[in-house]
Amino acid sequence: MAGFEGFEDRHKEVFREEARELLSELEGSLLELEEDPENTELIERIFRAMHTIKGSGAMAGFDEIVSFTHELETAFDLVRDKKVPVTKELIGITLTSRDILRDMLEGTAGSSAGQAAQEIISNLKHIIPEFPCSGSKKVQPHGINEKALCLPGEEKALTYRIRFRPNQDIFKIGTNPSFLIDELRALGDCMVIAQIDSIPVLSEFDFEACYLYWDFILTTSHGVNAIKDVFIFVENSSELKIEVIDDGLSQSPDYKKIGEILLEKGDVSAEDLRKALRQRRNIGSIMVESGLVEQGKLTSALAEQQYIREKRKQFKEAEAAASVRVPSRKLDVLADLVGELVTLQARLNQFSLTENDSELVAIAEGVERLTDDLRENIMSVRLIPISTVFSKLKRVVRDLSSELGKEIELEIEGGETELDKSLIEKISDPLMHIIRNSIDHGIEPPAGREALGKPRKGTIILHVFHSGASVLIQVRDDGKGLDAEAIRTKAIDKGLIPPGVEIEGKDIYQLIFASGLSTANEVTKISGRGVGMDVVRKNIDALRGTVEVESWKGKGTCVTIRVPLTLAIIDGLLVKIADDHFVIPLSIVEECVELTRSETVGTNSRHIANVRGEIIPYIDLRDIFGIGGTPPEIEQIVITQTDGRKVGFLVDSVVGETQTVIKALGSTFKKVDWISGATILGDGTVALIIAASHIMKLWEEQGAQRTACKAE
Amino acid sequence: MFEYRFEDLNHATVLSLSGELTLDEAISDLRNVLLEKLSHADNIVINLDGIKAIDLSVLQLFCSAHRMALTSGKSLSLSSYPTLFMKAVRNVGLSSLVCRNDIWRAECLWPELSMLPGEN
Amino acid sequence: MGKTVLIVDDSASMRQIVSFALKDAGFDVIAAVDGKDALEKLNAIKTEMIITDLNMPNLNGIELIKQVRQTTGHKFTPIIMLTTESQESKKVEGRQAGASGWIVKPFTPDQLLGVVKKFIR
Repeated sequence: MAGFEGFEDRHKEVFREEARELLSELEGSLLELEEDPENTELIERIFRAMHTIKGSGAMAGFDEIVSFTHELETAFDLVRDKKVPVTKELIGITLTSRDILRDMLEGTAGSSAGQAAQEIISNLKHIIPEFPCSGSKKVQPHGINEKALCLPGEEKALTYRIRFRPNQDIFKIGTNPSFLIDELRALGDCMVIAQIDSIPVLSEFDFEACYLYWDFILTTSHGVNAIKDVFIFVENSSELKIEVIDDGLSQSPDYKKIGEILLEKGDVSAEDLRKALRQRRNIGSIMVESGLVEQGKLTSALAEQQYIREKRKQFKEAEAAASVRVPSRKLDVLADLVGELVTLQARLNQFSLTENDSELVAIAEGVERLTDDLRENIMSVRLIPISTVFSKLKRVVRDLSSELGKEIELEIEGGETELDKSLIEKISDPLMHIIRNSIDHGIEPPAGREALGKPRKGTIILHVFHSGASVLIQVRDDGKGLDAEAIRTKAIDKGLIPPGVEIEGKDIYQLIFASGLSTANEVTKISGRGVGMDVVRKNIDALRGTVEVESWKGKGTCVTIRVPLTLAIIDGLLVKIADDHFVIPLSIVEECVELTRSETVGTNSRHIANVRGEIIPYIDLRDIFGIGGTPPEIEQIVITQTDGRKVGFLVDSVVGETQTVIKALGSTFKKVDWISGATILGDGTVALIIAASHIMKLWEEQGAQRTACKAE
Repeated sequence: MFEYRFEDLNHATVLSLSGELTLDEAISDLRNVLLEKLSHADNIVINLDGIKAIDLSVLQLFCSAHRMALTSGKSLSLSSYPTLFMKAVRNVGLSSLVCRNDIWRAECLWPELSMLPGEN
Repeated sequence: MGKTVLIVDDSASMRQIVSFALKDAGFDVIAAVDGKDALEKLNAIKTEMIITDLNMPNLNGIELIKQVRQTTGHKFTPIIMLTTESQESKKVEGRQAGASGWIVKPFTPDQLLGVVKKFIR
């Protein structure tokens, strides 16, 4: 409240003079009242004197006088309302009060005045049982402009939509809305759209009425209360609606559709909107032409759309200006270096523990913390929204569907989901393949769909979302679904499953990922060459991901791809077989159980373990990797879950969790399916990373004994 | 206060307004004058070059008069858009863009003003 | 050419505080000590806004507002009430009588101008 001090000084003396007069008037009135206790005129005068001392005293900064007078005023308010009688005692107390007030005013009594005032107040409460126990009421400064006095800038800028429809009588209470509009404009970027549909023809025009009303779009950081303050004196008599329509966070340059805006604002009914939408033309002009909405309302909605888009563009540009472009190769190098650091740090940790030096341990811990932070930051730099590949997909859907004479809409959910850049590059092709398949084999031709009672237009939904340390990408279509029988026949035909072996449910659909299987009767140039889905699986396996398919006959198919958030570093479980180390990705590990020799069921490399009554097949990695030596008496089974199935891996011992940087294997190992990479451990030794799903496939392909297992 | 003056030309009746065209009891006079003229003249042109102020109460009156003229097949227009007038129109967010429909917008009384901030 | 504001209050210090604040902001200010005085001043001097206390002898604020609204030339004149916190019901009464707004005592010059600028420039 700058300037308030000087302001007070200018007025303190004037108030003193005025208060002296009022106090002597008060004394005279009180003495008169003693003679004539029923005289309401006198009571009124006493009350008014107190009221004026209080109000003007507050303005001039006499706080002590204000709070004391407030109590006296309260007492005389009760007298005025005839709730308290005028007694000699009351008058006596009030006269003493008047003297105390004079002392306070002249500043002659010092702190004793305050004490005397307190006594008076308790006396008053004593003789007036009705006295409210509010105590000395704090006189707060008026708050209308408090917001404006606060420093702006701290609060975030939001964009509001405001509909202000003043009462037609607003002129008659001395208010001209254009000043309120000016005030709104002062709060930030503001768009003003007048609505003129209430203006009558001249013969019915009442010059005292305000027919105009307004839509505003305002971007301000002052908060909603500042907006309400603008309308404070008219809000009760007017229609005022304030909504936040943009929080400045949205990355998308798109904004709501016109129909949506009109509906939100209550300018059209849902029913009318549906009618207009059915005509499949520019819905704005349809609605105006058919009189469902006024031009002004449409203009307002259009302007809102344009405004928000413009705002978002500006925001994006501002953000872009504050960013740097770096070739992604540089980021890869950086990520590699951080990987080396992680490895070195693990060695440091191990070393520090064996040295038993507390200072070294502290240093190692510090390095670990920093390395973790560094790693996370590098990873986040490499993350980009998956929507970057979507425009390519949209194009494919558009081109393919028109080529095939199909009507297909691609809906995308979760396009803002972020993924490692290199992962996005690698996921793009498999994703394209799956979508091609949906378009070609899944979605029926329009006529066929109509015959089935489905909408002409088919839908492919692409849904991306996070789930733990993975990202799930689902492609769902509402087409005809997979034909389980056709797949079975084909699979038997191709020798993928021995005749007579029962494969059911989900498992049958998984067969579409086997190489050489295509159920399309005719080979089209888009898909159906029998390669494709197996390539999809290979690609996703290479990303340490999984792919699953579900299907409902006549209703559609859903392919789910699960990939880890990042490629460069994984959390793994370090296990040991003889002197060799292996890493199993932690994301698929369910639990570890001990296996004693005596518990072994089954023979050779196909084993079954009984885990709390559940029969789980396990694979002996010693066999798979051809490691010699004798296993220990007690071995460990690491139970994993992939593609919805549980499989255990038999190892000698479990070392513990580890964070590892994946090193690609040289081309020599390209053919080794069951290893997805290698990593260097803290002590410098190399550990191989197990490609669990491949090993399982390998294991399955080695014989169809699973059915035999199930029978047990 | 404001003053008005009529001038009958060959094809139009020119109404020249001057002074402060703001919310005032006197606005009722302006309404009545316009109403009366619209019953006789087919083509009214309003000249605002002499005005010192104009506010939304008068702007909506013009809009109403224009609407009346159009419904009775007559013409009412503004001879020019003085700066002061443009400022007032912009301030209250009027523009030909908010007019009822395409037919009317073609001869809307208001200039076509973009709504976006910073564009005018 | 400043707009003219009439301040009506029986308290001399209030009249001074309000008029100083308004004059600093470039308005012309005239003052009246009560409602009756105010009506006389309104007749004599062209006034664009009225700021009035409510509790006054000889025609209180609410009565003044009612009469001003009946006065030729003041149908649309903005009228601001000076109230205290304890006068919540008076606000409603004042609005019904035709007041444009209010400001609660005590207030700073900035707060006063914030309210005044909602009605005149």
